[in-house]
Amino acid sequence: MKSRLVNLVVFLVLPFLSFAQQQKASVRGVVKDTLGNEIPGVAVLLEQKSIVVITDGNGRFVYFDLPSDTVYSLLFSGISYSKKRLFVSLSGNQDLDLQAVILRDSTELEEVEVLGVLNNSEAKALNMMKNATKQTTVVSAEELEKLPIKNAADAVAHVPGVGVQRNQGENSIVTLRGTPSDWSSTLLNGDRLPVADEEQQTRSFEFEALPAEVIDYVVESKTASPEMESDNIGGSINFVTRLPVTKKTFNCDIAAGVNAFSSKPTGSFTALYGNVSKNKKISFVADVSYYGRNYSINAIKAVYGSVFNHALNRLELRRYNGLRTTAGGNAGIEYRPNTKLKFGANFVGGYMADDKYMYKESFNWYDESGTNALRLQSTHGIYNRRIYGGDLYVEYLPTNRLKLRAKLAHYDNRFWYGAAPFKQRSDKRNGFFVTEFMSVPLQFTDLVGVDKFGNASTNPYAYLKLIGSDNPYGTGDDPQNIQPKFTNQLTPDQFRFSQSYTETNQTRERDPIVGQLDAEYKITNRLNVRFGGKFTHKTGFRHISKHEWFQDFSSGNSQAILLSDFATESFMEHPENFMKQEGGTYANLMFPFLSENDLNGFIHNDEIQLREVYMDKLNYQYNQWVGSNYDYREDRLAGYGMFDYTAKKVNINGGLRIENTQLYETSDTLTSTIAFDEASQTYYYLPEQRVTRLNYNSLLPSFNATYFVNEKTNIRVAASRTMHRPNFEETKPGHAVIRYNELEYTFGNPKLRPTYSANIDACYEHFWGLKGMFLVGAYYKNIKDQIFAISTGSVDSISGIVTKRYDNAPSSWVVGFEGVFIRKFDFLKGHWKNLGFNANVTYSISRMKVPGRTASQSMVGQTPLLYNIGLSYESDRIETKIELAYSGPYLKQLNLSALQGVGLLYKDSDYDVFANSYYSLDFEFTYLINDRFSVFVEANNLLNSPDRLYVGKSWRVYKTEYFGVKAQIGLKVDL
Amino acid sequence: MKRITFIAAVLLAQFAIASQNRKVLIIGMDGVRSDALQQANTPNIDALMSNSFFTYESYHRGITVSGPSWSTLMCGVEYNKHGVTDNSYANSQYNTYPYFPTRAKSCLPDLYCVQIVQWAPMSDNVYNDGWDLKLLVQDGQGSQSVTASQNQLVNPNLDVLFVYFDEPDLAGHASGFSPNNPIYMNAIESVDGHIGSIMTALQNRPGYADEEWIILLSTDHGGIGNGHGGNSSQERTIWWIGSGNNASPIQMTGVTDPGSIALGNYNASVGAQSPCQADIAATALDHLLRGSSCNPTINPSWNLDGQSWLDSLYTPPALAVNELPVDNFDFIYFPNPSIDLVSLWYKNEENEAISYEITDLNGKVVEINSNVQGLTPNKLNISFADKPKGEYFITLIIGAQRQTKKVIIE
Repeated sequence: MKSRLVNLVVFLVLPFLSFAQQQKASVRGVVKDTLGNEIPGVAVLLEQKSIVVITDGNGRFVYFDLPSDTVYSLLFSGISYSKKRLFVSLSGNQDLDLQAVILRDSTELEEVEVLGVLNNSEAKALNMMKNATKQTTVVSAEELEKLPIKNAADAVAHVPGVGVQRNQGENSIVTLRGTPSDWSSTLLNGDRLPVADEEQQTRSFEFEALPAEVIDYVVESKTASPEMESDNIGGSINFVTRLPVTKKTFNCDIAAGVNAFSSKPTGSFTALYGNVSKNKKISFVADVSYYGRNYSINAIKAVYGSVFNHALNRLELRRYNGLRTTAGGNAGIEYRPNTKLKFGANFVGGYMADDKYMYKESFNWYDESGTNALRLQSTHGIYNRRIYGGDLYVEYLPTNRLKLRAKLAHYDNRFWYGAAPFKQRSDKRNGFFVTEFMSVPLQFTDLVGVDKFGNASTNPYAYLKLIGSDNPYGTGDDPQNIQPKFTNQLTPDQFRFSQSYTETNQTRERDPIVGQLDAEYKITNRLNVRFGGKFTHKTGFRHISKHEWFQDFSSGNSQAILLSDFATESFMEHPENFMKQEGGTYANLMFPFLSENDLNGFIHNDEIQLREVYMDKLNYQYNQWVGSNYDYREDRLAGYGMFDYTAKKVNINGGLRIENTQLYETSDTLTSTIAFDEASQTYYYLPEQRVTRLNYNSLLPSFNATYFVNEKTNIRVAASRTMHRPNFEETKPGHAVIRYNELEYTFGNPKLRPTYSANIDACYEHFWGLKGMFLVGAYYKNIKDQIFAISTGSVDSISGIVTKRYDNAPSSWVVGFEGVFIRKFDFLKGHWKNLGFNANVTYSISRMKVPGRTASQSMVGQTPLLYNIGLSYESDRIETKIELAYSGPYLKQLNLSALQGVGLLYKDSDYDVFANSYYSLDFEFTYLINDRFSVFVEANNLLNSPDRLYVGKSWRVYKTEYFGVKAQIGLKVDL
Repeated sequence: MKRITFIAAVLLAQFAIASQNRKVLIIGMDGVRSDALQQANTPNIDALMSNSFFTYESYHRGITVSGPSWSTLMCGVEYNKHGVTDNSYANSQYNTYPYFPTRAKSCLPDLYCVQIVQWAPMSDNVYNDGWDLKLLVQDGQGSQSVTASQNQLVNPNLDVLFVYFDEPDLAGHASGFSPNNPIYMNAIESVDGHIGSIMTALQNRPGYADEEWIILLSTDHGGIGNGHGGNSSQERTIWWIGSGNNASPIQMTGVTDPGSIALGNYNASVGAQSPCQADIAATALDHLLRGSSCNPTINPSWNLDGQSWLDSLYTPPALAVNELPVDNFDFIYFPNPSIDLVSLWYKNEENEAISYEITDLNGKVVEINSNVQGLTPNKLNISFADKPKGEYFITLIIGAQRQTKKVIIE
């Protein structure tokens, strides 16, 4: 495979090497600021020929093929820098190296005093955006520091067009333009990171394990270009890790605070050190960070169980208490033996442990066992996530025309459960550990007799708990305050042990080899061509299971294990506060729980006899698990060719990317061969491994054109074809993934095709230098082969559930509009001129046709409205910003349950799950004491806006989670 | 297949001890509503009913949950005695109230008893159950149950087999316990197919002709909506089939709901008039032990709630109604002694009017009933609940024929 790629590149590049023998004069250099930082995106105009060259990522520019014995003038212009004109005289076949061309900050004269390190990253970002060859947003390190950011997803939470999905109240998955979460490409140094998450099986990286400190800047590309990684229907967002410094740097900050819900401390520490060797040939940076935060979450979940109506089967009250610790770091080093050669390496690592306890009360109006009891679950899980990786690269400029770059990377991402309930880390039974005590059956008084469809009936089909207007008698609970009503008086001696279990999970994905070669050849000063290829080898697995403990009665001792035999703790300290924001009154429904200590010791307790049950092929419910595990290997080979033409006012670039994907995936199924195990006296079906082999090629052309109206204004248009690969659960062979409660019996599809999108984009952008910018844009995406779980027509013989299979669905489309406005109020007087305002909005309309439903509807996972509004104040000593992010409601999950003889149960969206809107308000205030020290206050989630899911109608609560406000105070040191 | 044969061979090799002719097969179906069973197309169950005593009006007297209910079926006592109130099985009192095989073995220790269940807790949580073999098959996998049953039924020494099917309950939870739900009905019908396979295996036993099998079928609870556990009539109304050697099916109808212990309104004397879950164990014990050296067959110290309906469904070959003397009018009655209810079986091919007289030892007529309606053409229940304890004579009069027998009421 590798040799194929090398051949390809050699074949493509060699002809141009021979071209490069022409002898003409040339001039080159590197544009830097006064601190020695290279500035990308500076326009270098060769005035005699009206040719513009934009400096590359390292601030480099070159002109060649210039007639000799002439004096040329080069005009350097970049946002926020004073223009600079240089005259150069070229003679013979001179190759003039100007080395560093220093641009002065246009604001420098106005600023009397600059405190702290001003690395001008904001200016760099602006120049990269203005002179980018496609629609781009760059978020600078400086910008990142203005808000309290802890993980890499926080860093982009307020970026235009970015939506962030939260996990336990922390920003986690990044999406662009409101598209479904796994349609956007999130990259680290240009590589898509492997994904290994406890719960979600998509290809979307969860960023909470990656500390923000490792990020230098972020580039968001809304339109595609051939050299970029695919899987980017929504767009791409590239996190660039800390770059080696240009001078000795040491800074650190330390902070401590409190979480309002847990009333427990949080703390963080970061340190960064970088230096440059004396001969300036070696530079490096290294940083470490630690963030520990106690947190608490209050949540409520309503489980609707019936198929034909909205009866409530279960109400869960949950209280989480956890400690999350994130440790991470990165290191970068660069060695430049001469101006034509650069070697470098990056390493990045992130580790997050989430040591979490949860108390869960489940009031069961109906459950599968028929025991309408209150179940008290004490749980403990230590969630470990570890991502690490890095790359080695070399960049070589053999001539002024040719640039070669090679990169080799390796990444590894893993999820596993820590040492609970067993101290031995390697114990495979460790997992999400649950111990449950169950009450006597509850005598509910809030059931109403209704017909099959929940309508009032004098000859009831069932007696159900119906809330809100689902209750035909008008006696439904206020959906914000669902109250189980029963006559029992419950005391701890009425709760008996029913079961303990761990949900085990080993998930890992690695990209052991990611190889990349790029070649750029300048045919003329205006036109260059680029070729390259990338190879990614990926391996991964997801192994989930269950391990159970029940009371062992074999000795004949069957005395119930009572909750009153153990130490207990209260659900929470101030139960009256639970869901108070919603008007909830749950204090009277709070019961004592098994204490953390007794929970951890429960299965080691010698005084109780437990019986262990393994989930293996002999287990009586193995058919529900056999399809849950899978292993895979994916090889992707990509090649691209593109051109880039720049005139004084216009840039056009585009080309074709071809990607080949080969997938080999295995998972088990059950055969119909009945076998017998003597030891356990058990009959079972012999399992058998099945294989998916997929091999497909994707043609991904893309074009971008920019009209530089003037130095401040651009008009851009773009067209592209982009793709989204199915995730590994969707292509899984073997038995279905079964979730009986949700009538889900879903098979992977070994013949699934990737989703393709044809995209058109246009925007107008205007820059006011460092003072701000605005943008208006529109886009259209026509999506083919969107991936769905659709009914197969075959039926599970036991349950009658119509089995589903992931398949490609008919076309969908999205039209979107976006706007960005960023402005400093420099036109005001006095302190007011330090104020700044920023806002951005993304609005989209989408339509999709759901197989089996007559009316078309909004696309699943597409958030129609996203916006951010921020206000900042920046003076010599004070820097403060408050920013609001809004994410509108969207359809999260289709309910395409189907039953034999009935077909699709729900023809409209009344049983679909929606995510409600949420607001996130973050604040940071920094006071600079002197040029070494500053203090800061930061706060997240000031509005304490809940994450909320609902079924069909916004009042029909499915899940509501409150996370509380987090606040920290800290000290920053720059040495 | 090879492997299965091998297993069978191994099992055969273990069969050693000679056994008895009286044998019991119990088939349990989880979560089958009475109305659903009536409407389902179940040819194999119908075949079993053709010589059975049965009712579609058996009322659940305890908690309509699997753990407590199956314990009642197997122990012959209600949950207030066996102690199981939910599926955790905590507080079970199987040492005091064991499964019926343990009871039977106290008398006939050589009985060979096997259980085949799909729902593991029913096996794992139970002790003192007397099973020689507890086989597990996977949940809802009736074809495994059939294979396991077939392998057991080749054993000539097999005396008791309990086979349990979970499919109807799984379907009910997924899509609704209702005769209008085709999925639920399919699940019942698929179990019926499996029962057919098991019956074929039973009838293919080499010694089948000489064996005296009774087959008892029942369920643990009904269901309503997608659940059960409550006390609605859809959850409580269940069914009871005892398939023996009746010449024609005997159905008990017009049963009065005796109430439920769970509801706190249980009336024992009303309850004794119709079959219930606890009667499965009692009837099985009666059949296994009757004719053995154990006398009485049901030991009062066992304190069973269940009563035997054996005489309603099975007549020992020598006493079978068909073999009653053609010339001399006669009837069979049970139990004797009795607490209050005595059942009479007789021939009445002409469907003539039935009357009876009860006289005390002094010859005083204490009750005369003319033109009474039997429960079935062949059976009549007579209640002594309103009479003092003592000895009575029952005279049965059909047409011109009459016959008198003595009964003791304790």
